[in-house]
Amino acid sequence: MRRKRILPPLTACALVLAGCGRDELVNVDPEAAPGPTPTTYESILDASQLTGWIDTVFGGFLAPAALGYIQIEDGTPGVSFRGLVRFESIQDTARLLSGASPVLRYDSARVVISVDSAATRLAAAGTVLQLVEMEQEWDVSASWELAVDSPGVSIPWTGGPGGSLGPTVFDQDTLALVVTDTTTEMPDSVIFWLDEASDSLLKLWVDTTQTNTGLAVVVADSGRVRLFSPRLLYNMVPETEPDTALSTRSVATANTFYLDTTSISDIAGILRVGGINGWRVYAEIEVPDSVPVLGSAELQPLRGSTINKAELVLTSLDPVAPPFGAETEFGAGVNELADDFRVYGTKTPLSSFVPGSSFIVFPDSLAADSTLRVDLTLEFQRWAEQLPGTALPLRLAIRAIPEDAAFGFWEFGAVDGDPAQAPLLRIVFTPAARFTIP
Amino acid sequence: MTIRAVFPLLLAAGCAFAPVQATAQVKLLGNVGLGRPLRPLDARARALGGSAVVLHGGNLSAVNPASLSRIGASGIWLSYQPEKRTIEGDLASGELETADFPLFRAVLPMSPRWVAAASFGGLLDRDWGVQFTDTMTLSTGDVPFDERRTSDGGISQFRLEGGYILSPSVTVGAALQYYFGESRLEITREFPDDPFLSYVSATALQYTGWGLTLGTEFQPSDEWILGAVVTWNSRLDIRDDSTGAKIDVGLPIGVDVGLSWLPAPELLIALAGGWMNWSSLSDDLPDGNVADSWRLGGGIELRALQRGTAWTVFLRVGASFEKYPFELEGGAPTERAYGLGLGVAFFGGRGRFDSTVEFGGRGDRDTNNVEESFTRYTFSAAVFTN
Repeated sequence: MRRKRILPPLTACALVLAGCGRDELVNVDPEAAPGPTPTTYESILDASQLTGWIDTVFGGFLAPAALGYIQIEDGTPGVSFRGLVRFESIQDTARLLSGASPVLRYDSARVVISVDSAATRLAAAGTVLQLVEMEQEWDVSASWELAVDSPGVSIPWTGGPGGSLGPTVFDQDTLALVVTDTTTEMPDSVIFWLDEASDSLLKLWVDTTQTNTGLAVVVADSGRVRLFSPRLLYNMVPETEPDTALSTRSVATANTFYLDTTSISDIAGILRVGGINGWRVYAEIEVPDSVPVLGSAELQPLRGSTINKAELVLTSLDPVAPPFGAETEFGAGVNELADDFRVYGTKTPLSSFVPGSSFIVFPDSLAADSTLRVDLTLEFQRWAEQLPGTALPLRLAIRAIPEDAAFGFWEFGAVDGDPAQAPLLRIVFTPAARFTIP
Repeated sequence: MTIRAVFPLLLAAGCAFAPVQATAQVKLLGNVGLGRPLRPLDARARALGGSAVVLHGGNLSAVNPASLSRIGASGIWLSYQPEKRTIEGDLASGELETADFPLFRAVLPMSPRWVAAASFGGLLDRDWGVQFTDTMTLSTGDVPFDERRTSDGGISQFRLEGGYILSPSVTVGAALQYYFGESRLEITREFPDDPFLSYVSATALQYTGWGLTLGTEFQPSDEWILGAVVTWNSRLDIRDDSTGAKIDVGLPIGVDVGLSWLPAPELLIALAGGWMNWSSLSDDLPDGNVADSWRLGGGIELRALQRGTAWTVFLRVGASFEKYPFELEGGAPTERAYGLGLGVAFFGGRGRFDSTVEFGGRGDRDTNNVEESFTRYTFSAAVFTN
């Protein structure tokens, strides 16, 4: 014990006294460098070479109402997106200099919605939009099958999936790519004039004893339009001054969109990332302590080695047609999963983000190259530093980041899919050097 | 071509991508055997060709414990030794700058006849570092990397010493040495052009051992001092901190002899020689090649200026030749050096400052495949209480 206590200060003194400072290094020929020569190995592993590899896809992590825009589309078989808008805070009293007056009537009402022209794809002959009354009450959780799809409450559309549309309030003329109405000073907007329905509709929405079923915005023919910021502009005519018209506006109290997803292919044998459903890949990978390497018949120790590079190699499947398949690039990355997704499914909590795992899904280059590499170096390095027998399987979630920015998804081969398209692990690692004494 | 397409081709081809396999590792001073020998000398002894067995006027180096008895005051001193080295060889080249503290010593007279001391000093320097750039071939293509292999540290000695005046002409001394130290070995591989994680592998080697030194001085007249020193050592225990592996190697017996002569009051001539049977380690070291070391050196000191007892200035010149024990390619290398020194004693001998610059070379390119030239500076400062 005494010897151990005296050793640290003696060692410190030794390093100061006899131990030297050295500022430079001697350049040597690589083949003649003194000391042990660590070998760097490369290993390319499929599921059969690992202790375990399970992957699956979960969706439903995104709600259209939370996206901040309304996407509508039609004209392509299997593709139907509808927007829902409801205005409830309609003024029923006009405030004049002479005092408050009940509204006699509403006129010149129009629904104005801004257009995201970058995300809009119009048909060659133009796209016609319609503003349609809805016949059933809904809320922002509405899906293609359900008018209300919130926890504990599921109300189907009475008219069948998609719901029943009522009278058309307004047929918008053929939509140009960029709509500019300089008279109202609202560029890049589409305007639905309610005309003679103005008074009856607004009075219906003001009357809290009546059900406000709101409006649907649909594509009448074909095309895809992304809209945002719906608002209602209208004139109020007071009872006390019927020759006066007061202009005012209301913003939508509820807006969302819903889509028919029945045309999206089954997810068996595929991995899917991104998309309006927020598709995520959940995977559990168990790596053995020693792995086969290229160029050698012997297993080499991965545990305890430095992981110079570890990447998940995903093989791209054929592109899915838009709008469900991604047309534009989107970011993605990997989170650790806090628990076993086979038990908790979509409710499995995400844990920390895996540093360095960010990547971009480039649809054009993926279609050409067919592989995508997800960098998991730091995750595997952390695994390799754990003692044998103490490491849990790697549980990972691959998802778009941010998830609401990737409208379309991309598909890759899964472990239980076509073996030629199954994911691989590529690991470049260097075991610890074997220093010789003295 | 995708990785899936390349994979079977690589397997079929038996593609090997171990980056380098050493064929004949270059041998540098410090990375062969136990390292490069160091001696706990002060600047005055360095200027006099390493003559540190006996010296008129106070022998401050931790070589001969009998010299302690001629230091009549308590005091402390320290040496600092920066060195610039230029290495040239068929397989290695570069410039190095190193810095050591080869000696720290404190003395305390216990009685008019005997003096005790404690000192730290160097024994073996294991400080070296090399670098190179190479390329490894992976399935994705060639990957360049920069690699550094370094060793930092060495083996020091802690000495408890005593000197005793047997008679006006004979003194004796003994020192017990505890050898200790650590060298940290590290390999770093970086990939400047690729987003690969850098590789670092390291370990530390710990050293412990014991030694006993006996010395004597014989002064037949005021002008002459003769001295001899013998050192016995235990085995040196070496432990790998990472693996716990241990070995022990024998340390050599050493003999040093020297003389100091004052042909005139202002002039001192010193000579010393030494031998150590390092070859006894041959069976203990994996690569064998160890030879006995020996050294010979001498120098002249001139008292150039003196102003009463206030201060005195000394000029010194010397040369040394030393054969190292651990062999490079072609055999054990030698060190040749000549030095110039300047010393000042002030406050009636209560303070001393000495500096030395030595120019020399080690090894021979034709024989050892590598040689180095060096400029070694040594600065020593001493303070005494009375």
